[in-house]
Amino acid sequence: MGVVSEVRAAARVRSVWQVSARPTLTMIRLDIFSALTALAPYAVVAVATGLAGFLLQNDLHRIQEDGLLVLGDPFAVPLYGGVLLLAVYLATSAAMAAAREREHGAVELLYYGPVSSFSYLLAKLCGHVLQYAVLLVLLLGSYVLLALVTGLHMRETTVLAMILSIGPAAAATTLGLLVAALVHRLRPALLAVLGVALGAVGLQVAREILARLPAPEYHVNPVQVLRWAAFAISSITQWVLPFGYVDRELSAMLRGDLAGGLVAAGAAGVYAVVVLVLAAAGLDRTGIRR
Amino acid sequence: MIRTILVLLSLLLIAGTAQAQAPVKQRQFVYGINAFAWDGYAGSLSAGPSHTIYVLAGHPSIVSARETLVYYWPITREYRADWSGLNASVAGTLEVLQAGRTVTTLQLRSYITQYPNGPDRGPSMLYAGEEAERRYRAFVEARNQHRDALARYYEARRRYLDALDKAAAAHQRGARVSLPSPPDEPEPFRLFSSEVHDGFVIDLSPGQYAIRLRGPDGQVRPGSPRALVVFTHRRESVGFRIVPQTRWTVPERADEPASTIYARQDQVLYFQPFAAREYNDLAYTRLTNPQSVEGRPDGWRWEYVQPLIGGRLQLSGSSGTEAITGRPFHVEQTTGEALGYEVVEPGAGQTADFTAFRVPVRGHMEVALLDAAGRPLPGSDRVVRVPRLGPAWPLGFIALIPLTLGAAVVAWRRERLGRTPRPREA
Repeated sequence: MGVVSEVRAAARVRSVWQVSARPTLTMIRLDIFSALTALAPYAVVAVATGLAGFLLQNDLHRIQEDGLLVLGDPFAVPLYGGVLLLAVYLATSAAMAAAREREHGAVELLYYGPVSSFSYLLAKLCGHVLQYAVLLVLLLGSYVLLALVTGLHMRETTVLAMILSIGPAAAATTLGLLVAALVHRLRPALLAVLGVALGAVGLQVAREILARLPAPEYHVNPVQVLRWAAFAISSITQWVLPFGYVDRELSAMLRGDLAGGLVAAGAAGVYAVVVLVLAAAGLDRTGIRR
Repeated sequence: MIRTILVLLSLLLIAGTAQAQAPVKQRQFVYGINAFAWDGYAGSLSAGPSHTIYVLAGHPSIVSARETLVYYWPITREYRADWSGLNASVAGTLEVLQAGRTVTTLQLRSYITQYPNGPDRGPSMLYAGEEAERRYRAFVEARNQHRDALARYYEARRRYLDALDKAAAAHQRGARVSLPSPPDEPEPFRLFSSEVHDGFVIDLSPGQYAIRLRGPDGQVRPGSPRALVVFTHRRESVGFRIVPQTRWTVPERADEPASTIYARQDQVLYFQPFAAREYNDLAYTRLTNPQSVEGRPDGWRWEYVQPLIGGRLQLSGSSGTEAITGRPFHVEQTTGEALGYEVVEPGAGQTADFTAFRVPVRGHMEVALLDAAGRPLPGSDRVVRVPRLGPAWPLGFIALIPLTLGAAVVAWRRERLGRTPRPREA
């Protein structure tokens, strides 16, 4: 009886955590191929480039009108917007891919072969991170073109910040995978990821606005309560959700703090690993069947 | 009817009385603060409810224990002191604590603040103890000497004008006259000094502290405990105030060492360099006013410490490298109805409005402030760039490139897989 339960436990562990190289690599290759031969990722890069063009044109207009403009890095805000957009896209795309495959029964089919929950999710993560790297090259190319056309300078730290943003992008992907692992259906998974992303970004925007409002030290008013609540919630969400890592990594890099940027990217990597493990455990608990 | 009118009138009278009410004053223990700031000592009040007191590390600031009449002024939403109503010094020693342990105990000392170049102009100095008394006596003596010199000047000027009138009258009569020479006006007396007051001189290393006043009876004075934050700067740099020729009243600041200056070609810019330090926004705001509702705890701001106009500015561009010196400039408003300014070098009898380095923008340039030995000062190098100010459509065109690439990839995939979109079923 003890031997049977041990064998069952070992089989269960293998079904969740065992990673076989060849099937994983095959899944990564297929994922990248299907993702990069769709229009959606290019459309997201186009939107990010359009946003950058709009913001840079605004700077040029100010220089034209005022004759003078002092800027730390003209590409700072466009980069922040672009990376955030790509991170939200990656989280959504990962959640959609995993939820759809589960809904269509593809995940169940894979499990008849040497594929564990962890290796399936790891393949999804690697595929999306590589997809992000390709999109980043595209975005960088667009920024270089914008810099050449406008004459606005793109600093080396902008390029470094883009490279290090792979960490937060991986974190965003794993959040999408976790949601897909916990939620069976495609539409609820998609809505949950979008809700979390928009909520996190909205909270950050609200925090920035409320931080600019006057706040006396000892008078309590509704604005101050709201401000305190926004600060308290965002101090949690900036660690629990991946979008805070985007903010920290880019802020550090754009002020020239390479060590801070590396730490933020490393923390995002740790977050990705932890959430991936949680997603694998979640997938095992909720089951692979549609 | 008459009764109604009387009631309305009495209501109006009551309303008028209510509007004219003076704010309620309360006798309170307060701290008067004279905190060192780079544009002069900032006087402020820490009354109840107690606000955190902020002071700069490395510079002495004054905290004075007082009893006064405190009232709330709703217009500025601040507690204010009616010093003329009551301004009594409170005896005792000031205990400074950190993490519950007494770090130091300060005794009352006399002090003065002086401005050698006048208030709001240049550095401010704080003197304490015997030095304060000596400096104040010297100030009073110098002020009296200046007053006497002014009196002598006005008397000499009156005699000069009389002599001038007599000479004019003699000239009209046809006599040959020699004009008297005017008297020399004494140099303006710029030194400004406060009177001698007493207070506690705070000069601590950065950190979070607490202060409280212990009276001569050995008891802690009720209402005297306060939180005290001693802070310092995060970074040092050379900041530039840049005045464009066309809008000299609205200068830009290039304080961040990594900032880039974008300007139109052939624009003339006037650079005013300053030694700058970066402080926490909330701390520096509350340094000058502990009751302020402004300032961000996560924000940073650059404060100018002192002007650096004495050096030379090195300009490097396509036409070579040159070092220029700062010069005084005069601003003239353009005549006519159209608004505008013209910055010129001051002519004879004209006063200078500002002193700066004149930099005509000629393409990509690098600027750096040189010290006396001709070496670039750390943090003073900036890049001036001229962007391409063309039409906006090429930027929109660039955004279409990734989309076009995506469409091409999708088409290639469909072709490769031999798939074509299935016709819709009716």
